[in-house]
Amino acid sequence: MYQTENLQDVIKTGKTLRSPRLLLPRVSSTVLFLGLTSFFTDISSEMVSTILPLYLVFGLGLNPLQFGVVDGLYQGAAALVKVAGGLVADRWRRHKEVAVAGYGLSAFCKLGFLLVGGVWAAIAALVLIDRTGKGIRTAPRDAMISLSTPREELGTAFGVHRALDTAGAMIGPLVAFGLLALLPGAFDSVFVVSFCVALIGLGVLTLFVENRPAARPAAASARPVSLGAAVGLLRAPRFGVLVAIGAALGLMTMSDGFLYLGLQRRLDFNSEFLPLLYVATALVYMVLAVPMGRLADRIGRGRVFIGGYVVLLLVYTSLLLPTLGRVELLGYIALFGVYYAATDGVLMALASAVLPAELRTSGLALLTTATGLARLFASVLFGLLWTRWDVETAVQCFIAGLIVAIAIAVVALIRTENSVNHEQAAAS
Amino acid sequence: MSKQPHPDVSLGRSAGPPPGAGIGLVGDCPPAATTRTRRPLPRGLIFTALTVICLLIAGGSIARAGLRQRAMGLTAASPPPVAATAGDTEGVAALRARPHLIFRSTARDDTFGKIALAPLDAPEGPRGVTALRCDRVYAAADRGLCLTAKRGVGAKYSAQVLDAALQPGAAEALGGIGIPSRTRVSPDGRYAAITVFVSGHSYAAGTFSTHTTLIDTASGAPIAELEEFAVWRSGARFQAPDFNFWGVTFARDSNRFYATLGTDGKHYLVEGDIAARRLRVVHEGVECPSLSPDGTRVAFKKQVGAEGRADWRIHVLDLATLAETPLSGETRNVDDQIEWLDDGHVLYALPDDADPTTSGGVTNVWVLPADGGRQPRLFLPQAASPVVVR
Repeated sequence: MYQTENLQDVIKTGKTLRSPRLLLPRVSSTVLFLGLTSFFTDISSEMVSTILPLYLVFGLGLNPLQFGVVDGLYQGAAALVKVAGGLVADRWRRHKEVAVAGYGLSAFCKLGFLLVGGVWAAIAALVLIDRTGKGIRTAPRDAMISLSTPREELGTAFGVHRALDTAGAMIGPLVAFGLLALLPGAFDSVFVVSFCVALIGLGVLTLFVENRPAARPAAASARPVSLGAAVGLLRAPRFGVLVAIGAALGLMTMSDGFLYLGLQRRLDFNSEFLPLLYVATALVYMVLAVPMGRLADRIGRGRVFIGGYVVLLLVYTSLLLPTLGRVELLGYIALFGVYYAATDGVLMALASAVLPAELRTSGLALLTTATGLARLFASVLFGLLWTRWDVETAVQCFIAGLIVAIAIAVVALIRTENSVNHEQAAAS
Repeated sequence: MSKQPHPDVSLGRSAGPPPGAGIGLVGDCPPAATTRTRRPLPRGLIFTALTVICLLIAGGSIARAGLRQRAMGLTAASPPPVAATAGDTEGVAALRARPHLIFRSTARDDTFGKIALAPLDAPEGPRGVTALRCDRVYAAADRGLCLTAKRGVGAKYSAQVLDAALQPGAAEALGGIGIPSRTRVSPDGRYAAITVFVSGHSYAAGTFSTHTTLIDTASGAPIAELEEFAVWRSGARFQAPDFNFWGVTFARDSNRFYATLGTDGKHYLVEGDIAARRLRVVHEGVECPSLSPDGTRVAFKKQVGAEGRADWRIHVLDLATLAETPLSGETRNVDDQIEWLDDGHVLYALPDDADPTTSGGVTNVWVLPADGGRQPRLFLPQAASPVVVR
């Protein structure tokens, strides 16, 4: 009864589906189904990434140390693929097809691990193809989320998606370890189950997610989709500012690995405790993704986004404190989850609001590429500072840099917000 | 969820098809009129079918693995690595009394994963099998070390000191995060070294590092992580946050040892001094060293081929002249820490050719003359982690 009424309501108004769930409020079915797609895909991919080292060493008798070497080289290629995927999705208005290609590629890699056996180069290639799939699908997926959501609810929509995504990432390792506990050494079963879960995610995407970009503005014909047009987005003041802010903040963000390592050295806790920190961070992120998104929609996405980085600043100071107790550590880990919830989806919402619909995917791809490369550079920089001086110096440099980046971001965002307000005032 | 109709939820400003068109099939929606008359298979039904098929495949795979493991006597209910009461205790004691080999059985029977012994002069003869399960094993003097992955509870390991009878000794097992990789015991039995792999989490996916720990076999407690030692190169301190150490091999005096230091994509041979807690870079391009019984040479695996398609080949380094000799008779990819059979021959494990893929774990131990291009010979079938005890 309730659903029928709801359906009528939706058809009548063409508005969003009202979900009765507390954590999944007022989002379009597209967002919900994309969230479920990510949920299943993350279960699948986390199952494999959790057991891959064990599989390499015990299943195949290989040495996993070399995977890190490929990583840096690969980042550049991944950036190109990401932007190319964005352009294809925009040009032919085929967001879903590009996303399906990305999710499909990753799904079939799971099966590939079974087929290639112990050929090291093939395993490395599969890992790269898997991540290429991830690179391809992210921007069209986020574009579809934003294109099926009214502008004023973008933060909530991305929050819902990221909550489901993170939930999958937390469940995946549990499933994998559960299977290995039941059947020691049965890595093939883990790959098959992971493949099946990925197929279900792919099924949700192909069967239930709508394929039409919502708006085809009149200006579309005046702005053909090309690499030039996509790069031209960077010159558009509002989006260009966001990319610059995202990159500047990313440049002063140390990798999670360094942070956890730093905390571990500080506290000298048993390394068995370390995975719990990841879980605690993910848990806080999952729980707060929706509330933070809603808050962003209500009080301003820029504010929540900047607030997230102020929280990150607080987390960094914990690495300099003379003493750090267990309780404080958990507090800081919770704050780290808050930072994720306040920044990850919110940045996509910020960008979606200023990107034209016809170039939405390319724009989001450019943004994530810029922030990704900035973070990669930050990792190298942090490593260099650590080598040349010590951890404390590196942390101090990053804290100082982050303060500067936040200050720049605040000024830039205030100016952007003003110009948006002017425009909206002029429009109404 | 799949039973609920999924309305067209495009925005008000959308110029999309009229309401009702949302119940189309995969991908592009057919025109609204066709949809109403022809009624394609509902998406919910297709999805249910897909889910059922996936569940069947997944269930079938799990069932197959379960049956396979029951056949191998390897189930979750099988006993953890504890005392060798069920093993061939007397046979083991008799074998221990003369020169012998200790190894991990990889035979596809109920000895899989258990520690076994064979006489050195008749390696293919009858084996003595203990009830002890280890993923890596080593022994010297009257001590041994059993390195085990605690499966099913995450990537944790257990390092258990063994006594003269290869039984878990009084010392408490050391545990931590990581996947067992290498272990060695010093010739006098006083120290043991273990190397484990530690993997990055999804947020830092794809990165692996190693932890190498020195253990006092009397207490089973760690003495040091190699990362805590001061490293010197050409008379100057050498430091970087990406230092990784692996593959310890002890010298005869048991205080000195050699190991690999990996940093910035390079692999260095380092010579260590436990008492002085320092390491000195000796040579470059050396992984997983193994010191010859006479202490003059190091057998190691050398990375050949392009980055990303790397293979390892066995080489021998003369420590006095730093001259390298490739053991070119072995053309396969050897990713193991070499064990010296005597001053003229090396032993190493390779995956069984007949069983190259998943769920196998069957390996054979090969022997190779340590002086150049001669061919390898099968030494000990269905075995891994060989240890020579004289």
